Amino acid sequence: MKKILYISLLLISQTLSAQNLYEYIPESTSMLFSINISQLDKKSEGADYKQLLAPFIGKRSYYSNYSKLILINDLLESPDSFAINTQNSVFVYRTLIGKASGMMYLFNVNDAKKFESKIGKEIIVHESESDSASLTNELTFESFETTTHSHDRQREMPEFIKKNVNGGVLYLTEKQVIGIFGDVVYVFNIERFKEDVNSDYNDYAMETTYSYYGRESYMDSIYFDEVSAFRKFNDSLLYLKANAKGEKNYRELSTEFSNIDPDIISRAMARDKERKTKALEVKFNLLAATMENAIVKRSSHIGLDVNFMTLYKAQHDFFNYNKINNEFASILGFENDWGYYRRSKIDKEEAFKFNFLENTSSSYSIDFEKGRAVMNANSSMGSKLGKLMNEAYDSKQDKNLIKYIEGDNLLGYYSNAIDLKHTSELYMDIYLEVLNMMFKGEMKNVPVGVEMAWAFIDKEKLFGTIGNRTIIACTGFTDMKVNYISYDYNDDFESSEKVEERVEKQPKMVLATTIENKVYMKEIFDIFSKFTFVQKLNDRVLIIPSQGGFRTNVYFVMNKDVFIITNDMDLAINKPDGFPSSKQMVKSEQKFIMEHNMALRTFTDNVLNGIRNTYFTNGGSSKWYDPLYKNMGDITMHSNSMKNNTFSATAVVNMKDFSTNSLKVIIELMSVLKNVN
Amino acid sequence: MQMKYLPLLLITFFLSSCFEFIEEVTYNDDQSGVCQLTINGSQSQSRLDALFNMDSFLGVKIPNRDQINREIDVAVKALEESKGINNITHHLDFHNYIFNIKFSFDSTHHLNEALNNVSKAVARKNSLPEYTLYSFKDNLFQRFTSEGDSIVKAQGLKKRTNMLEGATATSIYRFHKPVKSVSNKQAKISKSGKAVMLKMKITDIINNHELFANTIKLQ
Repeated sequence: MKKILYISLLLISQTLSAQNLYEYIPESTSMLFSINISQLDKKSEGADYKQLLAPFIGKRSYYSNYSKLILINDLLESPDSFAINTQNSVFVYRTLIGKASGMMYLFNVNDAKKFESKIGKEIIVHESESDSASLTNELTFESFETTTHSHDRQREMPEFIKKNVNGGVLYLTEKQVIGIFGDVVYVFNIERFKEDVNSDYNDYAMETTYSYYGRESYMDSIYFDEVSAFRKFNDSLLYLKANAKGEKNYRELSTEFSNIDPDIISRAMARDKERKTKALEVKFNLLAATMENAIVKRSSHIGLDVNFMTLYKAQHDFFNYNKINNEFASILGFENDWGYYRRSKIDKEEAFKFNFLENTSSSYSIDFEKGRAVMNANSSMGSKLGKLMNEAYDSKQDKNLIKYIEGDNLLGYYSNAIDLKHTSELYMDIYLEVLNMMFKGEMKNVPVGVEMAWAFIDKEKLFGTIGNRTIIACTGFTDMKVNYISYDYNDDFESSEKVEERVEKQPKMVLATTIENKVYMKEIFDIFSKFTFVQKLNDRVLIIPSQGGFRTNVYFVMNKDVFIITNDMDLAINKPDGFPSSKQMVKSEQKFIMEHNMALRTFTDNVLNGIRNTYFTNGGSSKWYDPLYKNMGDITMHSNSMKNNTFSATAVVNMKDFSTNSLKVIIELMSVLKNVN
Repeated sequence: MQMKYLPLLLITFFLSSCFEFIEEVTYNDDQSGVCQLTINGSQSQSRLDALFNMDSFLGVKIPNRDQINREIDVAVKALEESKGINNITHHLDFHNYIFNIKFSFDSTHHLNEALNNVSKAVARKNSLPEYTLYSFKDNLFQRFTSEGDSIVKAQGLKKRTNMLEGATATSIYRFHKPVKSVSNKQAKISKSGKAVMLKMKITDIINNHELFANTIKLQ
């Protein structure tokens, strides 16, 4: 009985340990990605989905030292051979561990020994002595020196020091640490590491930091003293030599004088090597000590964040989660002592106390379903920010705009109904808060100056005239007459230029926006009409004729309630009241627009047909066109209602075949587009 | 066809629309003459406008206007330094995309030399093979072609010839004496009998460069 209980407890604890990987992730983490490998593996049906993840999981860097490291791509290439537990997500997040900041990849393994053995085959490992990562005689500087400007991009066998630590084992090199602790494994790519060093190293560091042309790292203060003494000694010898022989060959003397005893150089080089070795030892010991406790279960972990857990429990194929407050601090260089934090003089504690951004987080998730790929984006805000956003989104689209969008051959549109005045207040308040934190002392006048300038602006005029409710659409292709030069030849084949006309297809673009304040709008319209490059057709239509590289007329139209910018001459001149309802977009589309603050749709078939009719007039095609036409359906995006201070939006990429595996299709299309040549 | 001499042609090759390449050589009775090369991309204005706003297209870096001006300056300098070449003029119209270069020569030999010099100067290579494009001896004028003369081939663009649909190449040769015969069946003789014109599709020439060759016998 006891045995059964014991085994059960063991199994449960292992399971719990495997499932709760987020307990190792600090609550303060600013940017995190979660990759559900088993779901992606299944849905990709063998296609290489890692290219989609490349921006998040990293790729081979320009720098040769990165080419020597184990890359997460390698692990995902054959997770089985590394015994990676694909049932659990892989977490990728930016973090600060002691003085080391960088990207952390955290995952579970089914068999730690197998993982370690595989690592051992992939890299050259140097066993360290029991408690210190001291360098052995086998190691050379080439093992550890980074050549950040090397042009050698060949993948080389990396060299790591192995160190047994409490509860696990570390594999360390200057740019990467791999930690194996039971079934929890991390790969940490170090981006910055500010090591504390001893005074000898400081001397060396100073010399390399402030080195100038011709000065080598071995040229320390002892070297210069010895050289000086040698020259003084040599000088007196040369004097005797020159006087004894009546030597007048000053050039020869000068050359002899500038020679240095080679023993001086070799002693200096030996000291340099010793310094470097010691410095590296210090560095590695520090790094090992830092990384030993890099992954521990935390009392304050990301799982305590409700928004994160909502994402986690939904088991998305992929999601990204950001805590804006920490993100800001990261951007401002909190994680990096050399970064903006230093220059901005932000106190570390203050960096987490942006009032406006309190309790603010954002996320997006991607799921590849049958027949479509869905992306959801969320922004959760604190009360202050949430209130302003609620006010900004308390707006409905103007139905009047729809009649100016010709629906017959619509290629796509974007509709937007947001109170710009509220969003401007929002951004200015955040901006001022940041500026007030950044500028202290005498520099505090800077944010005050910005605030004053803002106070002078007539916000009602700026944001209350137009632009709060807008639809931008591409309503098909229009024929445009274009003049070109060709030649006539007389009987003797003497040429003369002639102007001919041809018809070209051009996309019809429309921007229609509600006029919120007619008096202000009239004033601006009249001022605009005074520009020399603008022609006034009548009281409501202005034209910027085609000129220079811009070969289309642009019309600015002020109807009674709507302001329009377009290259569609028919709309501008002949449709002051818009299109009749039979020519407008279908009711379902109108409903879609009216229901959301933001709405977008591309009609992929119309777009591709338009491209074919315009650019493949001889019946030709292109490698990329046919697969795209065969598979791609419409793309839609819409905002959702604000709820509990959370703004969200959903984007969907539809496939034509609803039964098709969207991930596989998207990967195949990306390959086709990548190989267009 | 002297496509390699003008870098502008690289751009025009990526157009799925029309352009014209015109080569005119006018001879005096002493075998000196005037040579004029023109590229007219006027029919592709809007596409060229778009192209010039891009950094690269289909993997090829798109030169900006300054770079094109510099390349033309290199070509002009090479001409200036060539023996027997004078009165060099050039015109770049970036609105209509018509580019033109014209110069006088004192002999066919120097004409060939000058064109080879331009080729080397623009390619920044002194080791390019020398080509003889023209020969004029004993009332026999010959226009030679070579497969290696083609930028299209050099850039491996043969497979993209569908993008050159509508593009044409025209050669016009004018002489001081009437023309007796021409070898190229597609060529026309002028009413005065002293000029020969040949207009071909560029796609045809790419597939068979000899279509642009011609042997003209004068009376």
